[in-house]
Order: sequence, then C-alpha cells, then structure tokens
Amino acid sequence: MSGKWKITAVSIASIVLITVNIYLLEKKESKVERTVLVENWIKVKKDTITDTIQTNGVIKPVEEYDIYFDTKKNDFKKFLVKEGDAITAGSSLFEYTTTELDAQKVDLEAEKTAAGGEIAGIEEYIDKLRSYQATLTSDSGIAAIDESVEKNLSIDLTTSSTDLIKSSIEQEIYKQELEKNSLNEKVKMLDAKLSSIEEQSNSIVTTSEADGVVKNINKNLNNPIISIVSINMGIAGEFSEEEMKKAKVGMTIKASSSDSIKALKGTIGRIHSYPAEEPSLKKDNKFPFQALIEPEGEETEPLLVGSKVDLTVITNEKAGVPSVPIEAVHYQKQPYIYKLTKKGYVDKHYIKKGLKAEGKQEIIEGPSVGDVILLKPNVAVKNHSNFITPIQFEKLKVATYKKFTSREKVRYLLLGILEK
Amino acid sequence: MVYQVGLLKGILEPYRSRYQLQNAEAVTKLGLKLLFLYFLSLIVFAIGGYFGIGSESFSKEITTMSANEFEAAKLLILSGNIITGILDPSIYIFLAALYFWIVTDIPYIKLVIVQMIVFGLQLVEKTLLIPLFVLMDIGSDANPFSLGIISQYFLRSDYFIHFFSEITIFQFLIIALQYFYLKEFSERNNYLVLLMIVLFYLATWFVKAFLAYIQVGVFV
Repeated sequence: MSGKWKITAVSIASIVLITVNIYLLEKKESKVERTVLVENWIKVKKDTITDTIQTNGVIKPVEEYDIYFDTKKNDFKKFLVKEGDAITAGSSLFEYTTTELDAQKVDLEAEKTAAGGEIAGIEEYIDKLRSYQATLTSDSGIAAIDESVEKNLSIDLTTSSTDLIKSSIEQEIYKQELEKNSLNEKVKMLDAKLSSIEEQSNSIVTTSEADGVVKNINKNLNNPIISIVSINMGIAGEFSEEEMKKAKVGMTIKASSSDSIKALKGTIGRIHSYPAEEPSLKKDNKFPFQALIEPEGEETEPLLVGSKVDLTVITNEKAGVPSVPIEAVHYQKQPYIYKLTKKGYVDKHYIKKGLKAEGKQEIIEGPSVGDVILLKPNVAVKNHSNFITPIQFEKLKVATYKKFTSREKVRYLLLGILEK
Repeated sequence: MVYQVGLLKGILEPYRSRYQLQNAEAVTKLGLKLLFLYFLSLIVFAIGGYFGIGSESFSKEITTMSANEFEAAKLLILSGNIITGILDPSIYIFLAALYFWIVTDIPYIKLVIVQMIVFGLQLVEKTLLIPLFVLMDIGSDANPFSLGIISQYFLRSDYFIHFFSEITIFQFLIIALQYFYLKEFSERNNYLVLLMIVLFYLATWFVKAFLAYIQVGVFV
C-alpha cells in the first residue's frame, strides 16, 4: 500500500465518520446527550411587580365651570370681577338688564308721555273755558268763542241765556278737571312702575356658585363669558389608545416634576372616553384624563398651574410573587422557561404567566421561588440536556472557603483532577 | 549527531525526525521542550476548566449552593483541572515511556521523546475540542470525531459510551504515528509493537472512561 492511498483511505473514513456523527447529532429527536454551556442563570425571586403607565401631565385646577350669558334677551352692563380674582361662593360676577323689562319701560314711558300730553291739552282747554266765562260776566257782549269750546258745549250759544251758558261751562270745567285728575293718577302709577323696573334692572347680578379663581373673562361677550376654576389642583394629561386599555379611574398616580423635590400622590379621577380630537384612523387618538392630587399632611408649596410633571400611573401591582426576568421566558405554543434541575439537567418547564412589567414576569404556574432558571443561552439545544457553567470570577470570595469542610474541598479538587 | 527535540517537526516531518532520532548520539533542548509542553498542557487544561468542560456531574449543585459557594467550588475544580494539566503529561510521557521501555528494546530517552511528540498531538486534539464542545453544546460523549455518538445509538451502558467516545480519529493518528516511530526503533516484530501500542491505548481509554463514569462523591 502506498502512503498516498493510505492517507486517502484514512481521510475518507474520517470524513464519513464525522458526517455520520454530525447527522446523528443534529437530526430531530436525536438520542445524543448534549451538554449546554450555561453562561448565565438566575434564581426565581420573590418580588413585587408593578405595572405602570409612564406619561406626562400638567398641573391644572381640578374643576372649571363656565358662566353663560344670553345676549338676545339681556343687556350686559358691566363685569364686577377681573381675571385672576379669587372669589367665594356668592360673589357678584357681572351686572345686566333684561331687554324684556326695557321694552316694558319703553311702553310705560310712552304711555306716560301720552298721558302728560293729554293733561296739558285738558289744562289748556280749561283755561279757555275760564277766560270765556270771564267775558260772559263782564257784559262786553258775546265774545268770540273758540270753536273747540263751542263744540264741546252742549248748548246753542247764540240762543241760550247767559246763565245757562255759564252753568254749562261750569259743568264742562268740572268734567275736564276730573279727567285731568285721573290722568295724573295714571302718571303716578306709571312712575311707580318705571321706578320699580329701574330698581329691578339695577339689581340683576350673576353670582358665583363656588370658591375659585376667575380664569377668563370674555370682554366681547362670547360665551362662556366667565370661566371660573377651583382652587384645588389636579393633573391633566392624555392617554394613548394602548394606555386606555390599562388605565382605570381610581388608579394610584405618582407625579414628580424637575423643580419640586417631593413627589405628588393621587388618583385618577376621570378618564374621557372620547378622544380630545375627532377620532381618526391616521393618528393615535389621545384621551384626556384628570388626576386628583391627595393633599399632603403639612402645607406644602403651592402648585403652580401649568407646571409639567412626569406621571406614573400604577395600573397593577403584585407583591411577593415568583418572578423571573422576561428574557428567561420563551414561547412556542405556550410560554416556557428552562429550569436547571437538582439532577443536573436543563429542563423545559411550561409556565402560566401572570403580570409582566418592569422587565419582570410573574409565574403563576411553573418553577417556584428559589428554582434556578436558565438566562443565557436563551435556547437549550435539546430539552433535558446536561449542562456546565463557566467560572465567574467576580463571584469568588475567599471567605466562602471557610464554609466548605475539608472533605468538600478535597472532593471538588478530586472532581477536577479525575473527572473529565 | 545531535538530535534537537522538535515537537512540531516530529508531527509534520515524521520521516526526517525519525531518521534523526534513530541516529542521535545526544539530545538537546529536551528540558526546554518538556517545560514548554507542560506549560501548554497547563494552559489547555485551565481553559477547559474555565468553561467547566467535564464538570457535568457537579452542575446539579447549582440548586443547593449559593452563587458564591458554587463559584468557589468551581474554582477548586479548576485547580483540580490544572493539577491534571501537570499529571497528564507526566503520566503520558514518563510512565508510558516506562511501559514501552519494558515491552520493547528501545532506549528510554527516545521513548520519552516519542511520547512528547505524540502528547503534542493529544494537546492539539484537546485544544480543538474545547471550542467545539462550547459552540456545539456537546460533551465528550458526543465528540463528533469519536465513536461516542454512534455508540449512544446502540449502547445503554454509560461506561461503554464513555469508552467509545475516547476512540477518536486523533487517537488513530496518534497510534499510527507512535507505531511509525516505534516499529523503526524496535528490533522486534512490527505486529507485536503495534499490539503493545494498541493495548496501551485501550488501557488509557478504559481508564479515562472509568474516570468519567465514577462519581468522586462516592469516595470522598
């Protein structure tokens, strides 16, 4: 046998052996024992998992209510408060007169004028009558008489005796006096009405229903003409569609701003179920929410309206539950994790997942607290493999050796010497 | 003629090395090369120990020990590996040379040099296996250069699986190289020499398989 032939034969045999081995090793359901090099592992911890929404908010008064004014029926007179004024319940806000009363007033005044004109006419007539009467007594003959007077007198002046004329004039004067008196009464009544209207229209003021601060006054009388905000401060913000699924009224919030040291606590008070802007497909809809701030025990620095805060909404919290880092959880049909067993195997364990937040995953069913879980590599090449671990020098402490008995020390040393 | 010990030369230029060693009257650089071999062996064993290769039986302690204890114990194991890194070449070179010196008629020093050359080859194998084991997630029973994988399909016995996993392509090369040297140095029948070599290697495989099989905890 030549050397070349030998080398070829050996090479072929080697290649065949290696190929068969690789095939047997890598084929599905391979029987070959594997050894996983476990680079990183962790024990299942008892932990508190807090699920939160991180968002931003702005300090705003809790309530805001608006005051409306009907300009059709009423005449605005003047504001009694300025923007920024602090007000209490019952404070006057503005004055107005109603146009209904005004119309009445105009009517009454027209009536009054008419009545006044009538009175003046009557007085003039009476004067004429008196002067005519005087001509009759002075025997200067029958004076020319006013036609208007003549018309009213029921007697024929040319034929009647002077006495008769006198008495009928007397009667006429008397009648006219009565008429004048009743008109005067009417004027008095109208005056009373007018003054009462005057009084009324002066006293129409709108008052505030609650304590607060005047936030806005609309000088051009567009509604709402006054906006009043309460003194209690809250936080306003917006949730995204994703956050809306988790957020509920009553959840605890924590807010912190860059300029205040103390974190504020509170609860979500209200979530609008309708987006701030018209819902649309194109953009992420934002849903406004308000949170109430819990008053602190001692008087803290007053909150500035409009300060921006970082808001943490605690949506779910579970304390003292078995938890693993989320990267330890893998998915096939079901979530599973690899457990390093006390027999020295890497075993796949299906789990039932609980709360997942902050990079931690609660395990409801599966390995329990204290069990060792594979972190890296994230895939064990084969379920139920052996495993080895590279040494981690950073975890070495000289003091640890005091815990070992001599027998243990010898055992581990021998293990290193003999076992391969 | 002075023979200068060359390990790589011994592997890559076997004819020339064999000729030189055959006719050597004196040997130089033996101590230096021996030190170098020990040093290499130590490094390779330490690296293997760092990755925990061969420590499968200890791994289960991860569930009972604290992280610090676990690492401390592993450091002891690593120390053990390093000790083996010294013991292994000693046994392989001097003790094996003694055996061949007994069963053949070759001078001891030449046998030592041959053992050094073949031990170099053993180290090459071990060095190659470290990344292979780490990257392929296998232990020595699943060494693709060995008969271990096939034996796992046919055998139930852990002991024999360990045994077959010791029989590798490299082992055949080593046997061939050793036979190549020794048959030339020895006056005896070539087949007898081959038999002695094969017997020696069978013994080493059985011993190694046994070491892999036993649990140290049984004794200590």
